[in-house]
Amino acid sequence: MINKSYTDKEIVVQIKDAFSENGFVRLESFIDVNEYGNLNSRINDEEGEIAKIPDRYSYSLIDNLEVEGLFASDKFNEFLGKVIGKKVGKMTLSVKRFGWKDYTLVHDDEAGKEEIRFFFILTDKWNVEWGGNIVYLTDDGEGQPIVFPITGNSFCIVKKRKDMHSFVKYVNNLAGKNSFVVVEGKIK
Amino acid sequence: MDFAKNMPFPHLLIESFLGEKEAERLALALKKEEFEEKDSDLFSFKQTQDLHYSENKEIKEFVKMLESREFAERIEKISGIKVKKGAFDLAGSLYENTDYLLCHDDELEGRKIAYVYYLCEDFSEKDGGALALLEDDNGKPGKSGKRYSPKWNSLMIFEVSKRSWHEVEEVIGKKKRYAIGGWLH
Repeated sequence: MINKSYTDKEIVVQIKDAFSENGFVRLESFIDVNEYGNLNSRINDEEGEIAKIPDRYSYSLIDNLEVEGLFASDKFNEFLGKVIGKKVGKMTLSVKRFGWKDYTLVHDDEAGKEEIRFFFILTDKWNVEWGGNIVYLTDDGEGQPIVFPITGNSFCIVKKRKDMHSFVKYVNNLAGKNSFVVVEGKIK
Repeated sequence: MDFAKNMPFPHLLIESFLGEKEAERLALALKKEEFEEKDSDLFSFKQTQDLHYSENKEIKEFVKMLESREFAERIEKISGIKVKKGAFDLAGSLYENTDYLLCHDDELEGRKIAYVYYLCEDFSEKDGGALALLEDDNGKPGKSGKRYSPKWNSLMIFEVSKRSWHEVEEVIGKKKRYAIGGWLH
């Protein structure tokens, strides 16, 4: 599943160090190219169920056991555990599709929660002008926000501190019928 | 004119708010102001500085009109809500293609009435940029109750409360949605 270049012992140590130092890490071409292609093509067939609370979020929830299985697998958990430096405990997973008019907003519910989050992105193509960036920022608004652009087959791990909030930037009309899927995991 | 009875929450659109020439001069003046990009999870648009500080003659006259006792009295008469004479915020806004303001209620201490005075050409459905007023669903925004596409020289006013859920739909295409807006306290 995971791109072999990321499972090399020395590389894993480098990823772990980067995560430890920055509080986040972003890996491109995360899973094997062929596997990614197949997975993306299968998930493209699933529209999902619309989930919308206007002052909080808008997206489609996808119920996909195959994707969820990949990110709940022993191999993935082993890799994740090595990067975050601890055994991966209880994980919650969600799969969401974002297209035109979708977004999530910063919400008080996130305040005070400290957890490890990871997300994996699937898309045929994406242009930064279409919106959709995944953004992490601190309560006081000081410091640089962490911005994860939408890139297919990219994987990010974030140490979400108590004073951090996140949102997915509104996807605008330039996206047309294009969309992307985010597999998001949360670990206490 | 029935501000209080309009649903999903009290509001009113007043058409031909200023004289045609006056509105045209003000629109030209607004376009000369400097607009700064505003961007967050909730919005993406351009905004001027607080127009109280504008040096432009036309804008100063508009501010003076908003500060007048007559304006406060007119608003009170329409809305039944008492506003303090001369206590208001105002800034120019510009929404272009892909700009938007997502759902929120505007509520902040002291704000009684929100206003938007449109200084752009009429927008149609396909241009986006409509002000959508949403129904309240037990303290949360519900379905869209009423939508108003921007209309030249019209003033929209609505009561600010915990249930005044509204949004500016994304502008689609080349039209520029110029307006002056803010809150009366």
